[in-house]
Amino acid sequence: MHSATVVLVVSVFLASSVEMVEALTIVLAVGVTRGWRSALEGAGAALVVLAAMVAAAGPALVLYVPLNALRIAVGGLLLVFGLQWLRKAVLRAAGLKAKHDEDAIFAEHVAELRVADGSGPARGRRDATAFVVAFKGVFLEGLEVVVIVLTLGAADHRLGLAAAAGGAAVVVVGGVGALVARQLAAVPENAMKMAVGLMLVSFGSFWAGEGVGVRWPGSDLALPVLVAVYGLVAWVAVATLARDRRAVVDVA
Amino acid sequence: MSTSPEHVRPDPPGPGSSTRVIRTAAAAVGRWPGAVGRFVWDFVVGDTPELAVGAVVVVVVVALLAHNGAARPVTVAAMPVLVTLMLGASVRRARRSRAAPQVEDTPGPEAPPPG
Repeated sequence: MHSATVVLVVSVFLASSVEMVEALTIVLAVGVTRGWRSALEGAGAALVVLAAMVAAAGPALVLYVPLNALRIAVGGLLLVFGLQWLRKAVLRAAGLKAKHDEDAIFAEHVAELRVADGSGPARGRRDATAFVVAFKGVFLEGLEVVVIVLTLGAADHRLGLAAAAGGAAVVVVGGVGALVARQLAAVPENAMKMAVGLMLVSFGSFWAGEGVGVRWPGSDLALPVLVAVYGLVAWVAVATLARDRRAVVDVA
Repeated sequence: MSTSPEHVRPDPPGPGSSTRVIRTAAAAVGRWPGAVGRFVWDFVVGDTPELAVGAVVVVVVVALLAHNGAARPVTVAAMPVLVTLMLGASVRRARRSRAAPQVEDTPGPEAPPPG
């Protein structure tokens, strides 16, 4: 298997897993407070819409957009997304930004949903609030995954593989999430986000470079090298920021 | 202002009401592009415009190098070096914006008592 294929599958799987954990927190909060039927219907409807978006836009991108133009656009978009993920992960790892606390987010959603309707959960009946909140949560968290699946899959002409990796993450995280229920805080989200950020930035550099005429040494083998280089950069950034933060705390 | 039922009752259906419905629908449709634009801006750019602008600049600079006869090692190295500089600048900007209020808001052990 090519190194680019491995990095593609791992990137899409990790990105989908992280977003699914965040979506699952919302769905669990809705299910616990408002009833499971509408929560699951909302989540299911959102997944269907997201899959339809991939099915509709993916082949059109692959068939009608010139490869170099696609790679420049995809590379630029992946650079922006990847740098955003990486920046947040670096700041969190250095202690300059609060970590994503799924327990706190779960409690916040439960409190909001209880306040939203004083009549309490509508177990067994259709509940518009539960449906909309679950749909919105899954749709918005999933939209970034759709962009990642479309961009990575289309640029590499492996849309089916990218979609399958994203779908596998939905199934795995959904299944594990249903079993562990409220222990989502134990998922090492920041480490996963750091890994996804590194891979997206590497893919972004690789595709944008290819699109504008850079001839990478070793072709696809340049991807793991880029991941390693950016990994080293991120590690140095975290270490430097953490040291500076400790120095500021000591002075204060 | 009166709140009697006569004042809150909806107008009876007629030619005027259908015009209002069309106007309301047209206004809603007219707001769509703006709402979609704002959503896309938040989704792609968000609170880090420097990264969006920087990504475009990096791609343009590497394209110029590749198409103006720069040596291959230079074009290959340019992308990761520029991306690293951009990430460093964005992280430094975030640290500055966070560090200043944190140091001021958190009094140290030797800080004088308030008042």
